[in-house]
Amino acid sequence: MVLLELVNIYKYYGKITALEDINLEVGKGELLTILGPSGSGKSTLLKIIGGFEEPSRGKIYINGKLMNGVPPYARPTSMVFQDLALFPHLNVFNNIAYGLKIKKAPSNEIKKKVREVAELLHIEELLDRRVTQLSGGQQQRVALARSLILEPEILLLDEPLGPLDVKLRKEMQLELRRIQKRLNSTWIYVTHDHEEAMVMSDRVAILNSGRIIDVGVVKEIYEKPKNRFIAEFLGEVNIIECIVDHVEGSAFTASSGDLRIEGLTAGKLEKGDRVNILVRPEKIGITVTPLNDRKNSVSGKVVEIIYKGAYSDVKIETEDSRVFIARTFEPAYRVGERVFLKWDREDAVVIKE
Amino acid sequence: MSLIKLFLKIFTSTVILLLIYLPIALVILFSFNDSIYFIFPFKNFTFKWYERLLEDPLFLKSIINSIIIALAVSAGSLSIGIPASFAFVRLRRNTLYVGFIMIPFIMPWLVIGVSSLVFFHTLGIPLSILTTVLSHIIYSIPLVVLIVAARLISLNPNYEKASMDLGANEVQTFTYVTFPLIYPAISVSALITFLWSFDNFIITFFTIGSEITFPIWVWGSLRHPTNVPVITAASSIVILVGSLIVYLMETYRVKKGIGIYAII
Repeated sequence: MVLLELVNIYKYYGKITALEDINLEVGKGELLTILGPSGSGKSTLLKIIGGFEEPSRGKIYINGKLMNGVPPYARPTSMVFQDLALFPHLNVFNNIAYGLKIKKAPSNEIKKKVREVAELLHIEELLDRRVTQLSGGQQQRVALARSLILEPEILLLDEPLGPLDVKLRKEMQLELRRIQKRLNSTWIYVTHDHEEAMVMSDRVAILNSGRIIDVGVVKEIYEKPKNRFIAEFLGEVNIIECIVDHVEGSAFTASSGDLRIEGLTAGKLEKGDRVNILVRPEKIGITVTPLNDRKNSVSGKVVEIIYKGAYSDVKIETEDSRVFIARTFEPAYRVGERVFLKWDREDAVVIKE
Repeated sequence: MSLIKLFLKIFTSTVILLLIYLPIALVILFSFNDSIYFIFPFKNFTFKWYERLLEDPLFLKSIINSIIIALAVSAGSLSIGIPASFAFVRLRRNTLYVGFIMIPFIMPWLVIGVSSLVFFHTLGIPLSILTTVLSHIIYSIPLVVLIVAARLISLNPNYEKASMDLGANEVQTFTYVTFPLIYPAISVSALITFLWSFDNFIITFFTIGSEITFPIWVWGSLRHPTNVPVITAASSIVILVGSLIVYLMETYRVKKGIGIYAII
């Protein structure tokens, strides 16, 4: 069931186009991440959904109702701000209870609901504290509680985990996801961190320069990116620009200098087409013994080993000065050593230029 | 470092003692001295200046008038200054008006006094407490704007957005979020405008007509040498009451944990 529908949304600030032709549907119970680099317009989009900004053109529907011109307090949305914006003059209890007090809910109901949401977020002990006395993680939970207590149709989160340290951030990501699933509520989560997007979302919408360039299930976008920008934005990737030599059904061969490449494509290719072959570092195997099959394979010298704890990225330079990155869990290589790389044709993504 | 700190400590305590408290202490001391001259040695201890003071009906009237004027000025300048601060900060228009509202700030009080007099005279408005209130408000508005706007500028706009997001409309948001957060600035400007008006002599002198205020009463009393010690008695009472008010406010401030930084 479609809960939120954005139709042809444009936003201009003077001559600057912040958002361009945004079309997006979000279903009930879904967690959609809006992922994009800074300045891509993702916060603006969130503000438009929340009612803090009006779109220059286009329509917003929530539950089929037109939301253009409806102020934030009359929308069934709630926002967790990037800086949280907890009320500094109120204690934790009154921050969480704020929305219900405004609605003039009876005080015993307020107490009951605050207790419930505080238990959900494990902050029962903090209710009497001033918000300025809380740690970053605790403030996060209070901000979330303050929004969740109103049971909004859509919860909007604007990079709420930004200021936290990595460990706490990863814990909170999982916890937020658990809470969202447990409440079966609809969340729109803005972030610039692709790993966060992958951990948390059902679907992800990738925003660049004010346009949605792809929407879909994270795994599919990561493994079958539509274009170079998406592939590069979602993590390390090796890109080989080459020209198609021969096509046979869905299989094709292509070459780039001395390199011979075999690939599979669902799209239509012709001899002479220029294509980008994208291979993720974790899909590349490394070996020190020379390979018989020269297809989908390169040889070169190790120039750098980047230790990343659980794995290492090995940077290899070929004789014709191409650089490849391969990921390995056993970094048994030395800088300067000659190695051979190989990947399966199923693991390469083909993007036509 | 510690030497500098020590120097600062000694310097501030000396300055505060000598320049601020010593003259005040002398005034209080001489208000109990049985002589019309302010010279040592001290003569006999007496309450007679206080008795003379309380017998003077003009003194009480002047105090009451000054309080009425100061309250009206405080209320008037806040009710103009607060919306003006919002306009300046929220509309974010850097216009000439921002400078213009500060003009009374740089004008000598004497000039404000004289021009007010000319103004009211031209319009045929008889001088009274009301004309004094109006001319005091003129020079109080910039102060309110300066203090309140400074607080508003530093106020995170997301507090208000969050409030609106949680279901509060504009009026509720102002009542429950904006006002409590800028309240320290408002109370400080209320206090300062009150005190300024209470203390003001020059503008009052030109605009009060035949009415009397405390500074005018003091000025008038100075012309009778035998009355001068009565002024010290009056000053002592004003100082005492003022100190009591400051003490109560400071206790409240410390109790509430509001630092000096929160005032502006």
